[in-house]
Amino acid sequence: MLLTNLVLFMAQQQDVGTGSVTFRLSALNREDSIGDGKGNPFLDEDLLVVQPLIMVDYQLAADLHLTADLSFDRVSAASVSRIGGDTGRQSGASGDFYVGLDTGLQYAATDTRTYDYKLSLSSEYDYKSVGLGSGISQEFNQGNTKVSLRLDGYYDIVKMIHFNGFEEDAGETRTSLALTIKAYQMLTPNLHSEFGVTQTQQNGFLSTAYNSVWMREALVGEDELSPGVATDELLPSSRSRTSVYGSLRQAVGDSAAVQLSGRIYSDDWGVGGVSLEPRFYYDFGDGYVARLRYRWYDQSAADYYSRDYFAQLPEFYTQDSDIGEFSSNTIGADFDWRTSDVTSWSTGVDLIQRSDNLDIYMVSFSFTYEF
Amino acid sequence: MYHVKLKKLILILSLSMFGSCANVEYYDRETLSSPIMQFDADRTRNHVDEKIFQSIEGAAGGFGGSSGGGCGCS
Repeated sequence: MLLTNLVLFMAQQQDVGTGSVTFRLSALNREDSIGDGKGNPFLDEDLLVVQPLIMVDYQLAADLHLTADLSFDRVSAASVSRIGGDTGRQSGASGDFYVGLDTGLQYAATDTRTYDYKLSLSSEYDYKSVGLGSGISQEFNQGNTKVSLRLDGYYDIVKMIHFNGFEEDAGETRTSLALTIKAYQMLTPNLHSEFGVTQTQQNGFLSTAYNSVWMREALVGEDELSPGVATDELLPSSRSRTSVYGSLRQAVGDSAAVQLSGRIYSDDWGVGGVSLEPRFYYDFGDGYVARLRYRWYDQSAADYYSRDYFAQLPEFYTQDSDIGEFSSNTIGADFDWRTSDVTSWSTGVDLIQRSDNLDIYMVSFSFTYEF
Repeated sequence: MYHVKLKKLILILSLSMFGSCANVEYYDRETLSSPIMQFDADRTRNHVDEKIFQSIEGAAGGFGGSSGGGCGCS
């Protein structure tokens, strides 16, 4: 067993013509209704996502590895199509049907250097997106250290479907460029780590076209659904975002491992976020593996977010709870089991409890076939 | 608040990682190579996690994913 692991680790490469295909089905549910004390009292933030996903890994040649991820999302949310004539009450995720394809090619130029290339395409009823990415990874110090640098770019075309159902002929565009530096380091024979920094610059139309802001008449009760008018959300046309993360994973005996991950995020809209995530892994043997996790997340609101707007609007404004202030606690468990040399299964459940009461439940199930 | 912490965190993590001079020799890597020690062992799970948290939180990126783009959200 130990010898096998060592060989696998040193080789880090599959035989040509081999690979795997994974089918995964996930479902996510968030319940909300207007004025029930959850999230923004003026907006319906219901969300149900059913997400089938197919992921393929394939060793094309001794030095070429292909990955392809095809995902479909069936989203029932507070979208234009579902809300219909109930104008001014929707926000949050988009609706209907999403399809996305991510393809990646990794080229091992030498034993220690790898180049990779990525192409992403995605489409939904209200946008289309194309993404290109490329990166280089270099090992140092006999494999003790690995440093990666990658650049990803996205070009999105957003259909201008407003909260009242009005659709403009012309779309708006946005570009996103992300530079990531990532490092891997072995620290002891039982402990290793990852550390990464991502700097992203976005320009163009960064509002959500169908998000509305509910401007109430003044001098009414805080949570009263008083008369008012709805208007489009308006956010700046550029956003600079920085995130830093690190993970440490420590083996505990022969069968267990613990991991501590953390991320700190900041952007020039005023959103700040910090997360901490301890995980525990236990290998029962014979292909049975369990994972437990807890995730704590805390977020400060964007400068342009407000729960309430009255007679006059500022330069930029939004009531989207996802860029408001909140904290969340996530607990989750996964269990993997192998049914033969080439087939394995996995199932998991997660509960996200948010301080604004927009709690989320997630379940997932997957099957992997190796060939 | 998080803006200041971010710069400090980058410095601390850089020093702690690259200040580690001890090499782990090939023959000492059996434990690090076991399946439960792999950071990217489950690509599908990471893919879904990244997408979900990016869509419901203002923060994004860092864990190998970019911060924004490729979706209908900003």
